[in-house]
Amino acid sequence: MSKLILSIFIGLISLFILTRVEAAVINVPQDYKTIRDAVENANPQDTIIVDEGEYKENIVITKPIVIRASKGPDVTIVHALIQGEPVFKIKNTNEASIIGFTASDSLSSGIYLYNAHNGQVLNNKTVNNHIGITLYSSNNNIIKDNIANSNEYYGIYLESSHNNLLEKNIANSNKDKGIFLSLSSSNNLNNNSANLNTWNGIILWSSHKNTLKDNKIFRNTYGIVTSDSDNNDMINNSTWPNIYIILPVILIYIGILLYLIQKNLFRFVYKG
Amino acid sequence: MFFNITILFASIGLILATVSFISGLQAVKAKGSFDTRIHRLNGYLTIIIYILLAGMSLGKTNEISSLHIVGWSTGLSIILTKIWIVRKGKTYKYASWMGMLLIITWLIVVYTHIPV
Repeated sequence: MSKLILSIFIGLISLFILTRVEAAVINVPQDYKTIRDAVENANPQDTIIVDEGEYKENIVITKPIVIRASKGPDVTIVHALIQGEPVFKIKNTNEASIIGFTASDSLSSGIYLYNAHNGQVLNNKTVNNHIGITLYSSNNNIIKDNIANSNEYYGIYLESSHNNLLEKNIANSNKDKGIFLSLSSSNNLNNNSANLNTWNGIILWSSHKNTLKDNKIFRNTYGIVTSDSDNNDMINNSTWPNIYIILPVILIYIGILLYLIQKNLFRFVYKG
Repeated sequence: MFFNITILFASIGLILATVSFISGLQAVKAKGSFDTRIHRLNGYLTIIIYILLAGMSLGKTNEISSLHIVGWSTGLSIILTKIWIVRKGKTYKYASWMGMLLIITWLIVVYTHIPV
């Protein structure tokens, strides 16, 4: 009996070690020429490391893997091959991560999470897409340290997505809205910046129980907009829509004071 | 953080340009007063800050766009034209208009450097 228990125990440990060993690291372009090939040939829990360079692909991720750019988003740029598709799409899976890429030139989204849960989108740049980062029906994801600037519609867009953490993202200069939550509840938006967007910095539409904390929303047409949305917490957000007017008025006022000070100073010095 | 060094320089530039503008108007009214000295001092400091800002702005971008160069050159040409008009002795006629143009230039410089 004790031998049986021992052999089961050893078997379990071996299985555990084997599964750990199976989580491989795949390098692009050394192991596979394209990121898409690497993703298709990866097993769950594998990590794909992508070297710097410009790639033209649409990547669909349907398993829990990590794709990481070795040298960050400034030098690892992925353009959409088929412009109507997202550059990166995480679909119907849990715990997939995209880290450190620039995703651009998609008429859909730079990064698109569709029915994807517990994933991570970290330190990416999504520029010149129709939407920077989209979460559709995706819950419990971490969207952090991303830059979603200069997109045709929205920087970051959540639809029917709940319990996500959006932290330290920058959504500037988008041609419609910075961050848009539609039918999405219980999300946390902390320390994000949404500036210089054509319409809204942050908009909640039919979205409830979200927490917006320490966000900076400057120089949009409207700062934070809520529509048909209840029980959202707004804590310590900064919205300065009138800084264009306030700052020059203060500076000119200081100029007038400085002129009077200088005139009196000159008078005092030369009379003395 | 809502601060960077360029908005600080741009703000100082607008303050000094305002001092220079007011003292310039006063100097035209009452010649030989301290206003001429205040006008010159602040005016030259403003030019130095303008050139410094232009250098910083053009230097920090990887690709210098022609729009940037045209913008900064236009501002500089307004400054030089204003000095030329004053030196030519057409102070009463045109200098106050050029001074106003300089204030507008500095307002644009401040607007474009407000950090986001």
